[in-house]
Amino acid sequence: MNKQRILLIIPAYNESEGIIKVVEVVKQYISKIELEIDYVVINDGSTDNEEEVLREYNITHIELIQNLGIGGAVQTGYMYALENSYDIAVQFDGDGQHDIHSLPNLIEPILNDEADFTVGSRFLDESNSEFKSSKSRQLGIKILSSLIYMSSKIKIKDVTSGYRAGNRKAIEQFVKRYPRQYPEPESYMHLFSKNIRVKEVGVRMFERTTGVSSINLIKGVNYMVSVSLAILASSILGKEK
Amino acid sequence: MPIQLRLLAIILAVLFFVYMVRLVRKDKAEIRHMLKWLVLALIILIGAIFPEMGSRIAHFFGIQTLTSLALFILVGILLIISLKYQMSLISAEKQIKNLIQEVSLANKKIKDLERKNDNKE
Repeated sequence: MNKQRILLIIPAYNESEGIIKVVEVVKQYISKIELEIDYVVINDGSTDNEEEVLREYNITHIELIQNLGIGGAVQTGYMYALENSYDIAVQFDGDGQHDIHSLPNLIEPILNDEADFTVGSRFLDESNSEFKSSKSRQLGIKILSSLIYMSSKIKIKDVTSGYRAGNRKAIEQFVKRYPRQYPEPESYMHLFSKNIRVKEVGVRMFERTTGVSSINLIKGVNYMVSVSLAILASSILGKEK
Repeated sequence: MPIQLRLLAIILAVLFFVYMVRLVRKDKAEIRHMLKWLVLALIILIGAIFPEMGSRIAHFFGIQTLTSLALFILVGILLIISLKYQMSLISAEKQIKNLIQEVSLANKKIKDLERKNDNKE
């Protein structure tokens, strides 16, 4: 099999404290493994000294000239992947939540052409993740998961996971359309409508070490309502033949 | 429709009209932006000058007075206009997002090239 070029997209907003460590681990991993992997950090218009830190440590990065939010930042990564003709793009959080050693599990189905897009999951039996998020979040995730199942008949357990990988087909779709806010659950509907095969695989995640989640409790209700409506609205689009 | 309200409506329509002309003359807006507001002012004016016609239309729709009809129609038109504005705001937002992304990607390309050149020298 010819060697596929892989790009890690690492969005980071005000992560000047944690980003060095995350990238250090990634770099170490890349140098050890046989796959051809590059990474790019997307500095989402951070207001701390993240940009300085990224420059000082010579970290490959794109600085967004203004803050776009997680969706816009990740989409920029996909644009970069398309422009530089990478075969696979992987979303990898800049806050140290995702275990880079799970990467082979994540991209294997894509390399074997069993799927076009994979989701790293904490909730599959094969996942060796001790960290499973709080009870209330798990409930929210369950509700969204069954909502997606009801409207598409495809089961994805960890719908909010930001540890995901896609091939060229998925990259092209996300360059065209990627929700700007709360992107993950809704984006599956867009993938399904383009008949992109999605597979969930077990990965390991940690509790975040720095930064705060983009979703806090007050925003929780808003999140659930918005995302549920987005899923329902997208499910009306139907599949493209 | 009471005469006071008719007078008020005429004054409103005229003020509206004058304001729009001033905006266009000062290059703050173009006529094409103002067209829907002009039509709105015109409707108000006609309704105020010929209330009998308006009353007949109101009765046709089972509405008692022209005043209620005017309110009802105005609210309806304003709702549509504000929805249209949100649409154009959203599309502007999308364009800006795309610009930010393209500029940021181009910036990265420039920096990479600069670095390459520096290394050569």
